[in-house]
Amino acid sequence: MIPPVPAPAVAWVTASARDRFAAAIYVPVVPTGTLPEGTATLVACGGGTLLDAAKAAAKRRPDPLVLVAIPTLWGAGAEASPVVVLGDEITVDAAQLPDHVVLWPELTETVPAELRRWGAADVWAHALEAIASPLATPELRAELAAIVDALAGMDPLAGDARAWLELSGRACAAQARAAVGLAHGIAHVLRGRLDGFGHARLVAAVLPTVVRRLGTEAPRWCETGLDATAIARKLDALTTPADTSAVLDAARAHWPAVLRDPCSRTNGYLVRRGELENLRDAAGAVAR
Amino acid sequence: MTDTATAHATRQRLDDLLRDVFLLEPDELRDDLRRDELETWDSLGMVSLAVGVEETLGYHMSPDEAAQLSSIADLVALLRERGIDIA
Repeated sequence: MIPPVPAPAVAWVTASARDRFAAAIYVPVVPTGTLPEGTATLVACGGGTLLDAAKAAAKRRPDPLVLVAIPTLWGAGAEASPVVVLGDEITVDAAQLPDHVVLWPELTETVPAELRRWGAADVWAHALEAIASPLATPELRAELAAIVDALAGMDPLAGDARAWLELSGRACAAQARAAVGLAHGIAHVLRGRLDGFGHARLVAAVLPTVVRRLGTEAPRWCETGLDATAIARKLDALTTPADTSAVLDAARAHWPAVLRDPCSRTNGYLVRRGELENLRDAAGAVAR
Repeated sequence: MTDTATAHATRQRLDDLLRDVFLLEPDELRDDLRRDELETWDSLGMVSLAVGVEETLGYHMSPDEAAQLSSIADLVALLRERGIDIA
């Protein structure tokens, strides 16, 4: 499963995947964040946070380190992206891409349903926010439209784990060539401020509402011919009205920070001071 | 609406836009405000400005045009050159 890599190798493995990993891959697991002296290969098996930490470690180490990334769920797409998010610090550097990516769909089988849904929303968000981005080229929009077409026929709870992992990587790599938008801006600002809400759950909560707004407000979206209402209805199934309300309520106290977030500033339409009320109106209209 | 009133209304919409793009308080906006005075007028600010001008005034500003602006006065002059009647 792992391609030929230089020895010695160690692994960082998220807790939920440790048993399966140990049964299939004979690489010693060390505490995440540590690298024994002389390590030549790091196998990172986990979610976006763990993979980003591994990408940063590999890039910032003076000695060469081969990085093998194994995502345990779709969504972040960190294995395919030159972007690294470490707390508030975001860096973009092609040198941060892993040397090898291994897709292991069976790892997703034990992931709870809500995490699969939220991860799916993150995949959608990368594709949809990038397609509306003012920084996207026509060629990139065509590439993203193909991803959106593929996603439209998929259900995060019904098999297709390999397809989800593949599309997750493609969507994340594509958005890195343009930008994401307001759903990510809100998620970045609220991360750690709302109990139980990680990045993907935050994105899932606001994405349907943001997409409804993109459909009426974003100049580039209007050129794609995508049906924002139909897509938003599909995205509604990946969250709950209670989550949407909780996130929009929490966003009120942090709205100035949302306006300043780099992702908000590359949204498909201009995010104005009063946009939170527009989002609440759009979400409220669906709830009614 | 007279031409003068239309030009003033357009100017009002532009001023509202600039306050939102650059996160300015009402009394901070002035024509001689320079790009190097505003931390929000960075590369992302140029993107937001271009999006906002297209949404608000219907003019699609090219990346080169956005990059060459060094003040609010430059923007107003560019829009006038492009045929937008603005006070």
